[in-house]
Amino acid sequence: MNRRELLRRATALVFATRLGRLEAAFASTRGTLDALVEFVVSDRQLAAATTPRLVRTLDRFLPGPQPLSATAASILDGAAAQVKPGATFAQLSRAQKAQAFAAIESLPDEAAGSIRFLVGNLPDLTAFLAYSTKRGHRIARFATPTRGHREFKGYWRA
Amino acid sequence: MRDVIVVGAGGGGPVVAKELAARGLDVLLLEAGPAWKDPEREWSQDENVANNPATGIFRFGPGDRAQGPWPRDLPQNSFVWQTAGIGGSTLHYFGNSPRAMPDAFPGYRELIPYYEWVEHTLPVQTAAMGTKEELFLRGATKAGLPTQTSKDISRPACRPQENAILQPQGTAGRTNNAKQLVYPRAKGCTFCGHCPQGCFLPLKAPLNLKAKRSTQASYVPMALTADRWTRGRAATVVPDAFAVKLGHDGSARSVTWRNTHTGALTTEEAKVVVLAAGPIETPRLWLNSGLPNPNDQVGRGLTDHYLDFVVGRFDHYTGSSKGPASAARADFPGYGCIEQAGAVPGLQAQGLTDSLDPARRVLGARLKRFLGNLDRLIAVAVITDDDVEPANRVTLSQAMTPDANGPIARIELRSRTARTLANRDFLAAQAAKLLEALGAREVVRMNWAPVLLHIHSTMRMGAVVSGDWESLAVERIFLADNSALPNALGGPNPTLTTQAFATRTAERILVRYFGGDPWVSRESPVSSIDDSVTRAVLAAGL
Repeated sequence: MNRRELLRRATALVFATRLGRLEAAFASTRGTLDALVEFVVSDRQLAAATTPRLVRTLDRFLPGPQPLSATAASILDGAAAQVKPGATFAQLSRAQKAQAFAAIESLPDEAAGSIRFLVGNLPDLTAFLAYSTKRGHRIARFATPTRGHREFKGYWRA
Repeated sequence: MRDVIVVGAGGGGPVVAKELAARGLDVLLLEAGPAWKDPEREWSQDENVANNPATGIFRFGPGDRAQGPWPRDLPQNSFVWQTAGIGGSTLHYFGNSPRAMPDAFPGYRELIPYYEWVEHTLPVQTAAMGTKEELFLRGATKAGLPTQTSKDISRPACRPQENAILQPQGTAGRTNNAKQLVYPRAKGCTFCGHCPQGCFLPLKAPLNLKAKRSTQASYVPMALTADRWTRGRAATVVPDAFAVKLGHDGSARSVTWRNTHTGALTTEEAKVVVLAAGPIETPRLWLNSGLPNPNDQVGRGLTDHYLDFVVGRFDHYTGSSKGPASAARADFPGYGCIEQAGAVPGLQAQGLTDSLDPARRVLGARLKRFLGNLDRLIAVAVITDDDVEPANRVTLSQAMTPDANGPIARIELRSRTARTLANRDFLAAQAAKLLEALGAREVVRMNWAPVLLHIHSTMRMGAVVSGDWESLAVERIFLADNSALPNALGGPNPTLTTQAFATRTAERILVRYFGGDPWVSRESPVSSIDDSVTRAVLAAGL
């Protein structure tokens, strides 16, 4: 997918929104990002806490005429259609989802730099947002806040 | 007219501000991000609240967090991890303060007195050990590495980090009981494990006695009280002031900044201007100001240590989430370094899912398995001695709309030399060998997409600035951030070296433009934790 295709998708989404299909557009975005989050974290409770954070973070990261979360979802769905014609990202198997990421990662630099930036950061941003929730900390058996730990062992002697 | 205006209150700018304020100059220190009045109340150990790149306290953006972060144009899979605010990226850094590889640049020996000055001022101390550090060093020893016992790196060896973190005293590191971890019963590092979320501990400690020596806790308080702890002149610090233009007529004349709350523009004149906005914003400001770029080197040659991440999973306790984020390292002259890197769950998860190679990402149930044993992991950061490449650069973006501060920076990472790639592979192999020597049950190498948190050499010494870090094209403009470093220093973390150079820059400014005498070789530094500074900080109500 190149910048022109990204622009076409963005324009289509704005157009759809203007036609009163806002709700459907949001539902589509939400469904795709839900699938992304489940792909990254594989824990329903954790996923439920993460998608709203992901949408909020993306939309605040780069405000624009169209929410960045919708752009991200649109690109993932576009890549999904390349892996399995007619499918959305949410309809792919785990292996196919990995293929969709690989397809985006292998796009030529000049044509797709900003797409690779956005999509390349999605898994790690999602993982950060998930495992910094209370549920994520419970999974990691991590208690916060803390003022310190009894962990001082002394000084290294070779 | 001010004597000196310093642009940027991160790792380097406050060093110049403090040194020149202590000599009695009238110094104005500008910072684009916010000031922190009460970190104990304003900061949070909640990772999302602290480190979220869009909304976090330590994002790169204006103090008003209802506004979005400041945009950058990144035309590749990569991530810039910087902080705006008094202290800059030293707010979230690990405090690691190694010296450069001795053969990384000419004149290393002449820089040693400046290293020593900074090491005493911050201060830099040999790290205390927790479980993860002991394990790392034991693994390194098993892998055949001797222990480095001098500050100067002389051979492939491991060692405890030289950290800008105060060693634990009293109850610090010796109890989990929060009630006992209050100053003065606790002094220095309490082993909380939250270096990237800022350090506001021990609770109730005066600002200059907080454990991690960000410039917010060390150099800035000294600059603000230079009339109290020495016979200097208190510097003026203006936060929320985004510098948008440098005035010049062949010589530096003025700085114009934009108030990030009101949008109001202010211009002040100065005899000398010091740029310390970081290796992305310094070239952006230069180019946006229309300053000369006769050899097309402004912004070129970005190095980033091409970081990578190797993680081992163990059957036993490692204490990965506790203590200073990194307190042990191994250096490999000619290749770079590796260091143990502890992290709390969100950042550890981020590290395990970032990769240029989608197949390497640790996802789903496997990620849950790794993080379900957070304190059974040992993570190792790979810090590559990467080469200067002209195609890796900062320019002004033509693709993205300018923001309120002007055309934005575009960061292009187009090229890695064969030596850089080989160095990175060598270091990752060393990290894996160390983890395997310790009996790791599973080892993963992530092959990270570029994570830009050590950024250097976009205004290189010799190409854009002189050996004294003064502009080759415009008199009276000096640099004091990582952008002026000639390269990636052979691998060691850059902050201490930039602070040593910034100290030298301050000395050169005083001698060349204010008729003063050099002091570093003739005087003894005052530590930022000295009682005289504590008294000054308390008297000033900081």
